[in-house]
Order: sequence, then C-alpha cells, then structure tokens
Amino acid sequence: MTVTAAGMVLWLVVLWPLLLSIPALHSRLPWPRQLALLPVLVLFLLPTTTALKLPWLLFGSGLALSADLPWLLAMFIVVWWVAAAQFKIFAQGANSSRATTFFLLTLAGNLGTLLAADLVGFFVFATLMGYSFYGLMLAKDEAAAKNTARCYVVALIVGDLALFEALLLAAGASNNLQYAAVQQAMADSSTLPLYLAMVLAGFIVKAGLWPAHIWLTAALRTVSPLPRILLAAVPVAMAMLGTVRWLPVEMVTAATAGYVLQVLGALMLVSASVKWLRARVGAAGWSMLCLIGLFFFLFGHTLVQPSAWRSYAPFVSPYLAIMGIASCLLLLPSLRRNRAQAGDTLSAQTGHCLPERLLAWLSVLRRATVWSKLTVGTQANVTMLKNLGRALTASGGHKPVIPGGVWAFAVTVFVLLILLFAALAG
Amino acid sequence: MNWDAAIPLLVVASSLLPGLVIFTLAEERVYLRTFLNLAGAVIKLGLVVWMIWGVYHQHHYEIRLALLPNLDLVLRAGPLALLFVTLSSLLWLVTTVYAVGYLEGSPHRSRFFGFFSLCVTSTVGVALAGNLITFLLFYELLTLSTYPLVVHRGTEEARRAGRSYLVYTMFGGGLLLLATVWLYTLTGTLEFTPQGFVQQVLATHRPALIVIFALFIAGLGVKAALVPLHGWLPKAMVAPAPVSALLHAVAVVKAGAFGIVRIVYDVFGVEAAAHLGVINPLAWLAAFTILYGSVRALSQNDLKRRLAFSTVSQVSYITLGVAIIGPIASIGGIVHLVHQGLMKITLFFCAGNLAETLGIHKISEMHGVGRRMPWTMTAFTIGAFGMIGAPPVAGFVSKWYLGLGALQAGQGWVVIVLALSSLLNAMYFLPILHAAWFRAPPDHWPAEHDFGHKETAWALLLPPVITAVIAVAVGLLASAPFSPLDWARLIAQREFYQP
Amino acid sequence: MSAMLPALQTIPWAIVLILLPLVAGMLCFLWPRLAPTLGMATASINVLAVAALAWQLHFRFHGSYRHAVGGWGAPLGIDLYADGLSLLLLLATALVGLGVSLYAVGYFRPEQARRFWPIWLLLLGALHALFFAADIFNLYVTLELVGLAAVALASLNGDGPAVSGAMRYLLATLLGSLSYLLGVALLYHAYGTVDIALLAARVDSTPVTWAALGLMVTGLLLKTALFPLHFWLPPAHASAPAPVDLLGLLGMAAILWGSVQALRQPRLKLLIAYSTVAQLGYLFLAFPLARTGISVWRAALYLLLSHALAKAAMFMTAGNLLRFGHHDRIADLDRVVQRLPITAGAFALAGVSIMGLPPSGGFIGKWLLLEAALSQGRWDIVGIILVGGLLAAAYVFKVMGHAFTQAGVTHEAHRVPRTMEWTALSLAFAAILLGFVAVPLLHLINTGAVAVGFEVSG
Repeated sequence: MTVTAAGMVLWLVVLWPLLLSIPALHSRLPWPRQLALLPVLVLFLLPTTTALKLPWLLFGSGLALSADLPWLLAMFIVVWWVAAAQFKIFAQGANSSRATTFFLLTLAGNLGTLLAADLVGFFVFATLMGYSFYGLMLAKDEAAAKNTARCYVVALIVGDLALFEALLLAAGASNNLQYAAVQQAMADSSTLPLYLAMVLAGFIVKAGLWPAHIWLTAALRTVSPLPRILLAAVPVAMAMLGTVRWLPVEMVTAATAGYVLQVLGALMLVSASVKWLRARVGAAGWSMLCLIGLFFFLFGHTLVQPSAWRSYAPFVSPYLAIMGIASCLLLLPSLRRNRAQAGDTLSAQTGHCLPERLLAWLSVLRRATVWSKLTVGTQANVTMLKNLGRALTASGGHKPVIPGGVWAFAVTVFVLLILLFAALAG
Repeated sequence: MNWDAAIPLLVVASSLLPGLVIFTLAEERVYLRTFLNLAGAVIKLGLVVWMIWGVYHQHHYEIRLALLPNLDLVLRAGPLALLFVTLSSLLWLVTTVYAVGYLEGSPHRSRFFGFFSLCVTSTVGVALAGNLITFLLFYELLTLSTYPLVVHRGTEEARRAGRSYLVYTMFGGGLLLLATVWLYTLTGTLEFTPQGFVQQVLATHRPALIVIFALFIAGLGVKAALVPLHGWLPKAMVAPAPVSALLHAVAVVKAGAFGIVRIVYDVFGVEAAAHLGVINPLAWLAAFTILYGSVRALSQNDLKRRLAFSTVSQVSYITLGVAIIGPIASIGGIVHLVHQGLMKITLFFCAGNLAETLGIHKISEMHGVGRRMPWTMTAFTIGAFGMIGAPPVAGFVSKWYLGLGALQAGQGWVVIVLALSSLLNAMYFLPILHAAWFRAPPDHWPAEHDFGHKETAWALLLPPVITAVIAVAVGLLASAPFSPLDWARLIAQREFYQP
Repeated sequence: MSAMLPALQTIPWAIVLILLPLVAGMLCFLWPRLAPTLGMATASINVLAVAALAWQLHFRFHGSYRHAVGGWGAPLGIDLYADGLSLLLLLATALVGLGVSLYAVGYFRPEQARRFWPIWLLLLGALHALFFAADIFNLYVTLELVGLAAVALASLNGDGPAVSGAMRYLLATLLGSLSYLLGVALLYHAYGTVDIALLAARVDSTPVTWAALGLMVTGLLLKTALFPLHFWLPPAHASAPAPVDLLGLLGMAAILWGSVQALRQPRLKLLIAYSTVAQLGYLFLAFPLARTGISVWRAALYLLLSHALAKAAMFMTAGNLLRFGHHDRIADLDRVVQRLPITAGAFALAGVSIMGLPPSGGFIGKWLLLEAALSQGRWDIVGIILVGGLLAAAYVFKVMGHAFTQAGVTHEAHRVPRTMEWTALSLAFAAILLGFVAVPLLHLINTGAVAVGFEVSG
C-alpha cells in the first residue's frame, strides 16, 4: 500500500464517521455505528507509520499515525466496538437517530484527537469530541444526567479556554505547531511558565483530576451507561494524552509545578482509594479515579525530575489503553441493570467526604454552590454571577440553563489553578 | 472603452438599476421582481469574482468622476475593498432568496425590495470607495436606504426604532462630515492611501488630528455599535429578519467597522495613529464594548435582542484587531469582518425561521425546537459555536489571530478580554442550544405555520444552511488560497510591510 | 458647422429671454383659452434659449457679455449683462419654471388658469431681466416687477387668508423697495454711477456708502432677495467686518429659528415655508466667510440653486398631497402619503438635498461652506451648519415617517394628475443630480466673475 493511499485511509478514518453522522444517511444503513469503525480497523492493520499533511486546512493541520498509536488504537477499537454493540440497549426509550449522530460525532472527534499531528488539530477534534459527548450524555433525557452534563460542559469550556491560551502561546513561540516542534520551542521560550500553567490547568479540568473531579464523579454516578463506559476512554484518556503531547516533558524542569501535580494526584489517589474501601462497591469508577490520580502523580514526578520520563515514556500508551479498556469492561454490567442500580457506580455518600467538604469551604464563592446539592444533581443555589447579571441589566427575566453556580465554581477553580501553576512553575 | 475601469461602476449599478426598476413595479409582479433581484445579485457576484481574479493578476480597477474641483468620486477595487464587496454580494444573494421567502404575501414588497437593493448598492459603494468623500457619500446613502427597511413593518414600535436609528446615524453622519471636511482643509487630499496620508501634517497639527480621529471614531462608531453609541441596534431588531441580517452582517454595522478599518489604515495609518496616542484608547473602547455587549446579552430573553447585543460585542473584535498594532492582529480584525458576517447572518436567518415557522420570539419558548426544525437549529448551532470561538468554525480563526497578534504586540490583557468574551459567549449561547436540543418540546408552538412535511419553506431553510456551511468552510479551509484569511494576510501585508 | 449656427450666435438671447415671456404673457391675457399651451411653449423655449445663451457665451464671448440696449451703453443707457453667474441662475429659473408650468397645467382649474398664466409669465420675464441687470437701478426696477408679480400670484386663490397674506407681503416688499431705492440714490449721488462693475471699482468705505449699504440690505432683506448683495461685500469687508458678521449672526438665527419652527408646524405647507427661512439662513452665512473670496460664494450659490429646485419640488408635493387628501395636516398624512408613492419619493429626494446629505446639490453647497468655515476656524458657523443639518433631517423625517405606517386607506381618493407627480419628482431629482455636476457648474460660476468683481478679496 502506498503512502498516499495510507494517507487517504487516515483521512477516511475521520471523515467516514463524520459523514455517517448525518441522520439521513445513517438511518438508511444497517449497522451504521459498526460501519463507522471499519476504516480504523484497516488502519490498525496497516503496517506503515504514515502522515498526511493538508496545508490548506485551518493553519496547516494534518493527521499522522505515530509509533505509539497501536495501543491507543486498540483501546479505541475495543471500547467503541463494545459501545456500538451495546447501543441498542442504551437507545431504548431515546431518539435513536439523534443518539447515533452524537455517538458518531464523538467517535470522529475521538479518533481525530488521537491521530492529530499537531496542537491545532488536537484542539479542533477535542472540541468536536467534547461537545458531542455532551450530546451523548443527554441523549436519554434524564433529569440527573442534565445537571451532570452541565458540570461537564462548564469544565469543557473552561478547559478549552485555557488550552486556547496555551495554543496562542505556542504559536507565538513556534511557527510549526507539530508536537515535537512546539515542545522544542516551548522549552526555550520565556513564556514557558504561563504555557505550563495553561496546559496543566486545561487538561486537569478536562481529565477530572482533583479538585476538578466533580464532573467526573457526578458523571459516574448519574449519566446513562453508554456514555459512562466511554468516560475513561474518551474525555479522560484524551486529556491525559494531551498533557503528554503538549508539554515539553523531559526537556524542562518545573519542580514546584511537579510537586503540586504530585500532591493533587496523591490526594485523588488516596481519597478515591479510601472511599473505594469504605463503599466496597463501584470498583470500576473508583479504580478509574485512582488511575487518574496515579497518572498525574507520576507525571508530576517527570516535571520534578525530567530524566525519569525515559522510564515512563514507553508505558504511557499502554497505561491509557488499559485504563480505558478496563474501565469500559468493568462498567459494562451496569448497562444491563436497571436505572436505579446503574446509578450506583459510586457510593452515594461520597459527596460528603473530607476533601470535597474542605474544598467547599475553601471556595471563595462558597455561597455560590452548595456542594451536596450540586453533586446529587439539584439546581445550584442563587449565584453571585446571576446577581451580577441582574445588577448589570434591567431585566433578568429568564433562568439560564447552566446554573451560574457551576460557572462561578468552575471559573474559580480554574483561575486558582492557573495562578497556582503560573506562580510556581517558574 | 476601458472595461477595467467600468467594472466597479457596474458592480454598483448591478443592484442600483434593478432597485430603481423594482420601485416602479406593481405589488403583484412577484416573478419579475424576484427575477430582477436575483439577476442583479448573480451579476454582481459574477463581476466581483471577475475582479478578484483580476486583482490577483495585477489588474487595476478604478473609476473616477469629478465631484468637486480637486475632489473625485473614486471607486477602486483594492484587496480590502474586495474582501468587503465579496462578503456583501455573496450574502446579498443569500439574503435576497431568504427575503423572498420571508416576505411572501406581505404588503409593500416592491418598496421593500427597492430599498433593499439600494441598501446593498450603498454597501458596495462604501466598500469600493477610493477616498473619504466617496465613502461618506455611500455611507450616508446607506443610512437613508436602511431607514425604510427598519420601519418597514410600520408598527409604532418599528417607527420608534426607526427614529432612534435616525437620531443615532444622523448624528454620526454629521460628525463624520465634520471630520472629513476638517481633514481635507488640513491635508488637501482625501485619497485612501496604504499607511495613511496624514504624515505630512502630523507634526504641525497634532491636537487637531487627535480630535479628528476621535470625531471619525464617534461618527463611525454609531454604525459599528461601539458603546455608548450602540443604543439603536437592539431596538432595530423589530425589523423583519432579512433586514436584521442585513443590518448586522452585511451592511450597516459592517460599514461602520469597515470605516474604522479604513480610517486607521488608509487615512491615518497605524504608525501615525500610534504616534498620536489614539490607538490604545480605541483598543480599550473596543475591549469594553466586547465585554459590555456580552454581559448585556446574558439577560435578554428575546432571541433577536440577544443576538443584537452579541453583534455589539462581536463587531468590536474588528475594531480591536485594528487597534492592536501589528500585522497578525490586523489579520484577525480584518478576517473577522467576513467571519462575523457569515456567522451572524446564519443566526439571524435561523431566528427568522423560528419566528416565521413556529412563532417563537423568546428564548424561553425554544425548548425542544431542535427536534421540530433540525436543519435550522444545526445551522444555528454552527453559528453559535463560531461565536464562542470553537474550532473549526470561522470564529476560531479570528480569535486565534487576534489573540496571537495581541501577544506579539505585548498586549496580554487583550487575551484575557478574549477569553472572558468566549466564556460569556458560551454562557449566553449554550443555554439556547441546550434548550433547543435537549429539552422536551411543548405540546404546541406559539404560532405554527404549516409547511407540509418540510420543517419550513425552502427559501427560508436554504440560506442559513448555506451560510453555516460557508462559515465552517472558511474556518476549516482558512489556509487555502483565496480564503478570507488569505486575503486578510494580503491586506495586512500591504499595510505593514511595504515601504 | 452648418450655416444656421452663426445666425444663432448673433441673436441677442438676453433680449429674447426677457421679451419672450412678457409677450407670451400678454398673449395669454388676450386669449385665455390658449394660455396653458402658450405658457408651456414659452417655458420650453426658455430652456432652449438659456442653452443657446450658454453656448453663445462660451464660444462667442468667452465668458461674459454686455448688451447695450438700443445702442446706449453705460453710464447713460441700460446695459444687460450676462456671465456665468447669471447663466446659472437663468438655468435654474428655466428648469424650475418649466417644472412649475408643467405642474400648473394639471393643478389649476380653468378659471384660475386664466389668471395664473399671464402673471406667471410676467414673473418669469421679470426674473430674467433681474438676472441680466447690470446696474443697481435696473435691479430696483426688476425687483419691483418680481415683487408685484409674486404678490399677484400669492393672491391667486382669491379667498380671505390668501389675500390678506398677499397684502402683507406687498407692504413689506414696497417698504423694502423704498429703502433700497434710497440707498441707490445715495450711491448715485456719491459716485455718479449705478453700474455695478463701475461701482465695485469706485466704492470705498465712507459713511455714505455704509448708509447706502444698510438701506439696501434692509430693503433686500424685506424682500428676502439676496442675489444682488454680493457685489458689495469684498471691497467693504476689509474696512468694517462688523456689519458683515451681523449678517452672519442673522443667518445663524434664521437657520435655528426656521428649523425649530419648521419642526413645530402641524401643517406641511408651513413646515416647508419655515424650512425656506432656515435654508436662506445658510446663504447669509456666506457673508462673514467671504474673506476667502470666491469659494464661499460658490457655496452659497450652489446652496441657492439646489434649494430652489428642491424646495420647488417640496411645494409641489405639498400641493399634490393637498389635492389628494384635502388637507396637509402632517399628523394625518400617512394615508395620503402611501397612496402617492411618486410624490413621497419626490419629497424624500428633495429632503435629501435640503438636509445636505450626499449625493445632492445641497451636500456640495454645504461641503464648500463647511470647508470655508473650517479653514477660517469659524467653529460657530461649523456648529450651526451641522445642527441645521440635523434639524432639517428631523423635520424631513417627521413627514417621511408617515410613509411607513400601517394605516389603512380610508379616504376617498382624489386623482392627482400624473404630470403633477412626475414634475415634482423630476425637480427633486434635478436637485440630486446637482450633486454630480458640481465641477462644470462651479466652472460656470467662475466664468466672467472678474467683471462682477466679487472675487476681489478683501
């Protein structure tokens, strides 16, 4: 197979699910979700590493099949195949066509994020994936899922904002936005501390590391099973992958940032483990939280000690792949249970555990969100932002769908994170 | 005969003549009127494409007509002019189709389409104007030809909006006239020149030039809806949807923003403006407008009003891009001229569709509307994501260049403003999308029209879908030749790199 | 060139232009039934004659020419003088005259028409004579003729209010004439001539001159006739700017007061009339700005021309609306305006020129005026011009706003003849067109200006 043909397959991998996501098309095809996975199967079986660059696309984006991809592709295929197979059960009582559209859009975004050869491509596909996943979360019209989805989308926006700023910094330092070039350029750039802060803040929020894990725990507890089995492989794994690809690991030492990351990772690891032991149910969810904590703990280590990266690097892709597949398979049984049981992926009492309470107290806008309410999924309290909006405008007639409290909280966490990293990273 | 010279004139005439003929047509001659409209629009677009090709091959399109001794009416097709002309003629074609569908069966259509054509004629004139007096001429003509469109419905509310529009724009026009004459008495020329023409009097007339610049910005700021001169825009949303589209995306607001671009680049020149110390205040004003518009948009329950405040915010991106010194930010500002137009026209078309098909005017009535009108709401979603700046929709490219340019110019605060604006955009657009897609539709819509099994009439559905596709395409294919970004690069290059 | 052209060149077109309307007027008086035909023919021939005169001026006399009537030249005889300025005014008169004649054909009932046509043609003839006058006494005579004809026209309606209004105007114009005549006498006594060119050369700043100037200005103001004033100013300006500035103040006051009054009027005709006061105010602004010489006079003249066309069109639209709806209350105009789109269009186009928005003759005039004011740093005048423009926009749109209401048609429609509508539109369109022919027209104004002497800067 020639390089060009391989390149075509590469693009087809992304374009094919995108095309299929048009309702008029997928409603006329048998097995549209499985069909969408065909090109990626072909790609998985291809022996070559290949790249196709399209200079007229956006700022010159491209897709590439790099050496570390087989693991991730394998995870991708397994997880999505399982999801596709379980789709019928999921789609009971929902608008199947719409759910399929979101399913395929998320799939395309996920694949694109994996295969993107540069930062912009990663960002673009991650955005597609993120918002489509939001649609997938809400495809079944469940009240509890709605609030979770709100938390998720706020985290998504806030994270994307940070990443966008990071992108700008990267583009300011390097003309070429491919991963290696950016890493090289940022290592020497004076804007590195800010870049580091932005990237870490963005991906921490998106990966659901403590203290931004609210959306993740809420999602594990409330969203319907299909998006739940995709959680680890889709938003979380991609955010972790992004952390590795965007940052100039091994080239720079950012000791303090590293320590902070280690502390956050450790906190997540410990609190999740303790709660797991106490609850004795929901192994899939808790283990996933533990793995996230561990990942960032180790990644913090490489920031403190760059040479450590060499020993970690080969295991990143397998780590992510195993996390994604394991979480998916462990959560699979919940698909077959009814709703009440399915909601029990995590123990229901965890909303009141120590770190979360601590955080609620620490929050500058404590009033803005009552923690337990937020996590069990009722409307958040009257918020400062809404008050602000009312004060600024004459008529604040209608209620925003995304409660201001979530916004206020997310933005606060986000700003604190950025400040923290920016202050320490240098 | 020199055809190169005649083409700019033909571009203007291609909507003027049909417009004048349409005025004389009887109300019931729908087909002839539609044919004239569409023929004019298609011919104009063809001529514009021809000019793009020509300018790319170093042709020079210019026509002069003596207006006063030493002062000509000049129509010239430079790169910046072409960018705006292309946008206007393309969107005019789309809007015409939309308007034909939207106004079907309503009274005074000949009058409407007559002024509609005049409005586009003046916009094209504004774009092609080669000097300030030509610009002024078409700019005022635009005011006059838009007023009848704003008050078209003839209700008390519409007339109030029209009065407000007139008060603001006449006031702005007066300031613009004053600034223009004053500048002329100082410099003796009004010809748009890359990097400006005020250098020779820069040393001698510094205070006067500062005041003139302020007058220009105040005069143009009315149409560009800079705070505190934006008051007319939210009121003017009582106009029919195609008019709103025209106001917000194609003609009026754009003409104001385009004027600011012209003033900063081709009258004062960035260097002179920076030397006068006026460019930073302009940037602050633009930044404030961006945030103010977004914050106000948050609390609007009327869909079109929310979109109007969104325009206040978004159009100032253009001003902001111009007011940050440096080629990259300029690219962002100039390209947003096109991008904002594409996205906002999509949003207004969709708002019009909702109102025409289901009688929905308020956001609180939009629950589940995505299920009833999936195509319309898909277009709306694309437009909204573009406004937020999500890739790969066009808005992302604008924001990218603005942010990058600000960083390069050492104006980090702009990036924070952009981030805040994105956040606010998300806060007022996402709830709409959420409600439209994920909430249960009501038992019956406020005022549903029956279009058979289609979601709405073809003439209403196609335009937003087309503009949404273009909005994605210009973002996705930003680096392709002849993309808006490509042209914006060319323009910025002319402003910043040539000796 | 054919053989006919030289013959055309030798005809004294000035004489033709004066005599033709007068003779035609008399014929109309004799054969009232033929009056409309005769009147229309005269108005049409007028236009051709003016064109011929222009051509003659350009090719034969290269600028200006002087015709000694009966072979007796100045200072003893009567001279007719024509230059670019007079040509321009003649052109405007001819165009407006043609428009008014066309309009009148449809407007007047037969019994009114038999009175209208003779007086109207007399007025045309008098106006032509006025524009050809080369001395200030001749000016007096022609002004008197114009005034009398105008009074007669104003009372044409024959009812109570019309007659009393006409009488008031008659008194004012007679008083003005007396005052003016006194000034002429003083000047003649002092300088021994009434010829404008000679006077311009001889006049100097003495009390007598000032007294004469004051009397004449008062007189002309009473007649609201500004045209002949210009020849005074450049020489007088250098010595005593105060009175000139006074005129400027008067102009400003007129603009503001006239505009505000216009805005307050409940009836269309009154609105247009007050708008005229405001528009005349602009012409007065030229006086304090005359320091720069010729350009500001061009501005004033341009304003005058475009105003003449636009205002004539506006009055015609008012007439149309009156004819159609039997009233001209602005508040109730909506139903009427919507039924007469051409008339509404004419009003709008005329309004564009009155507001001074581009592209229109009014804009060109305003631009030139602003330019002069700015180059002299006269910010007060700049401000007044801008405010005046805004106020004009306010009262024009006060009327135009009624074209866009939802009012249903309830009035019984009275047909308005097509010609009346189209005449108004054509005149308004001409006012717009003036915005595009500024260069040749301004060139024309300059032609022969030396002889009049108003470009001699102070």
